[in-house]
Amino acid sequence: MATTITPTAPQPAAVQPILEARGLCKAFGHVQALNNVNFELYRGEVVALIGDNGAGKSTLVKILSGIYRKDAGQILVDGRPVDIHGPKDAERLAGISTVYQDLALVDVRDVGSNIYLHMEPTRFGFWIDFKKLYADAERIIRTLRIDMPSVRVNVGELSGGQRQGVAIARALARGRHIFMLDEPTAALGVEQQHTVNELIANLKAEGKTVLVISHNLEHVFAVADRLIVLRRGRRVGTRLKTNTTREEIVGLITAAIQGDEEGNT
Amino acid sequence: MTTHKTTAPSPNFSQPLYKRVLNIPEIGVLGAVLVFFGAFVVANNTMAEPANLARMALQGTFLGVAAFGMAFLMIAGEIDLSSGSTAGLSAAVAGLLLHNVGWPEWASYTAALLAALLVGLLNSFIVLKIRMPSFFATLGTSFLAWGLAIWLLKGTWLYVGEMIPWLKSTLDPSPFFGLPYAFLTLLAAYVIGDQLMRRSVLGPALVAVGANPRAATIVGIPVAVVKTLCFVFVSLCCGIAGLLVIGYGGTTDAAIGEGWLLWVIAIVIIGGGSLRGGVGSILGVLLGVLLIQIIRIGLANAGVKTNAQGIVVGVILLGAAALDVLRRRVAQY
Ligand SMILES: Nc1ncnc2c1ncn2[C@@H]1O[C@H](COP(=O)(O)OP(=O)(O)OP(=O)(O)O)[C@@H](O)[C@H]1O
Ligand SMILES: [Mg+2]
Repeated sequence: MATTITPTAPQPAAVQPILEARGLCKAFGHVQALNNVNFELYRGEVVALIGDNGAGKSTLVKILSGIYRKDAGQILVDGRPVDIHGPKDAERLAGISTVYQDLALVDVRDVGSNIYLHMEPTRFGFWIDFKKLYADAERIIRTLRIDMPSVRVNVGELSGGQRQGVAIARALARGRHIFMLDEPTAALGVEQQHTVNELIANLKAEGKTVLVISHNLEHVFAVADRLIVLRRGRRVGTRLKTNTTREEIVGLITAAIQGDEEGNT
Repeated sequence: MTTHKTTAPSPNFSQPLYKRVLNIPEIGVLGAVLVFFGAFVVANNTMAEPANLARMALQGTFLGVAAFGMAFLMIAGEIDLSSGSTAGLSAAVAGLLLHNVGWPEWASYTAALLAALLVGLLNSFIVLKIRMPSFFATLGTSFLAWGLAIWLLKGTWLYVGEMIPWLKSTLDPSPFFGLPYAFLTLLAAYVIGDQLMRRSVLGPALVAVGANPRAATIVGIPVAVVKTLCFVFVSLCCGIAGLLVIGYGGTTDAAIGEGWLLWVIAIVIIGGGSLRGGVGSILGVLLGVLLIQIIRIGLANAGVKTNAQGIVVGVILLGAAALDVLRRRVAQY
């Protein structure tokens, strides 16, 4: 699988990140979930966010996608500071679409209706144009090469990998260009994980930028160009996939290897 | 009633005809309407007479109006146990203003519907702001509205028959098969509501709110606004139903909506709704209204006492649920 994804070259310093965070802090009571974390995402890359349980991965994603408010720090889109107060802002200002682990699909409706939920193609802005809806849904499913019997089957009847596909298709249909996936393979079998890897590769091929949280190193090394390691609320390492090994990454996660950016991020 | 149901069935033309027919969610209640109507016609030749049909339509209008509102609310994943009391409160306010204060019809009804609207707003406030499950919240407001109606009327009833010519006229038979104007209006409302749910952008949004509020929020549907509108709408419907009962009987008392609640919920569920939200069919609910009316009037015509009707309806409800489970199993495999 890994061979089908071409690693990007190291990002030159002059290239502006499309999404950047500086000095992010977030505490829950006494727990410092994020401690002065810097973060950057470059156009067209796939970044894996990894770290042990409670490292702060989900918290970082939730701040970027407007679910949590940050205690301190700054978020920049294309170099411009933005205020993200809610999921709407994240979508509008930053083009971020987040696919959460529960996927948030409407099981009683079919694939097409889920992909175009609340943005159905219409006549007179009110009556749904079902013909166009299903045709467009079909096209998106093909773009992502999701294996799907029909866009008219109920989402409740699909497998985990297919459901992940529908959630990503819904994000893609909304014209977002940054995709954040929180543990997309956690609940999936090997075959299904493979499907998600391909989905991510296809998103990248479409020129999209992807941030994926994962505990699964095989998955990470299969899809990511760059790896960012968090440990107990701090960013302790950043590696290009081509310049690192599973052993080094495990060492960074578990603190067997001293974090290289500790304190200065 | 049970596991997965589709609100908008997607025609899958590769399936055999019998499966496609079984996949229509309303097929069960439609079948029941036909079977029971046929059975009562055979048993009692007055059943199909125009006068009897008009009587069924007239009496079905009251529950039909309340069930119309409840259908949308239940699709949105909430329930309103205060519907009967809201009808009583609205009737009490109208009766009092007409009888004791001498307000004209239009002003009295406006005030009555405002009272109903306030109940709806209170319900949505408790459910959405205080975050109490609607089951408890509306149980509380049900007693509140009921008590208020009794207090307003001081426990008596008022005769307003002479003061409500317009309200009475809404229940007059129309040239169309002698069906009451109010019933025809309701019929039109059901057809429009069904089309809105099936073909407009409102349908998927309402279903998403009920089936998965998180999904609705993520795609930008204002869940709280939608639910508030549904709460207010069902209260207004119940308020209208309460007024129509005054128009029918000419009297008002706080007990007007007593016993409605179970009928209304039964109708929505027979029509394809679920207590868990996210599913339901407006057309199915209309068929549910017709079914309940056919059974009630049919049994009454056959000489079955009112208190025995409950037993029959209960058996039919359970039978319908069982048949529906069976239908979906056959359709699936
Ligand atoms: N809503 C919350 N309320 C209280 N504490 C929270 C909340 N969300 C996260 N935390 C705490 O913040 C820390 C970081 O949590 P976070 O969910 O970001 O970790 P994670 O890296 O995603 O872990 P996992 O791999 O288990 O998903 C944890 O100690 C967690 O208990
Ligand atoms: Mg997490």
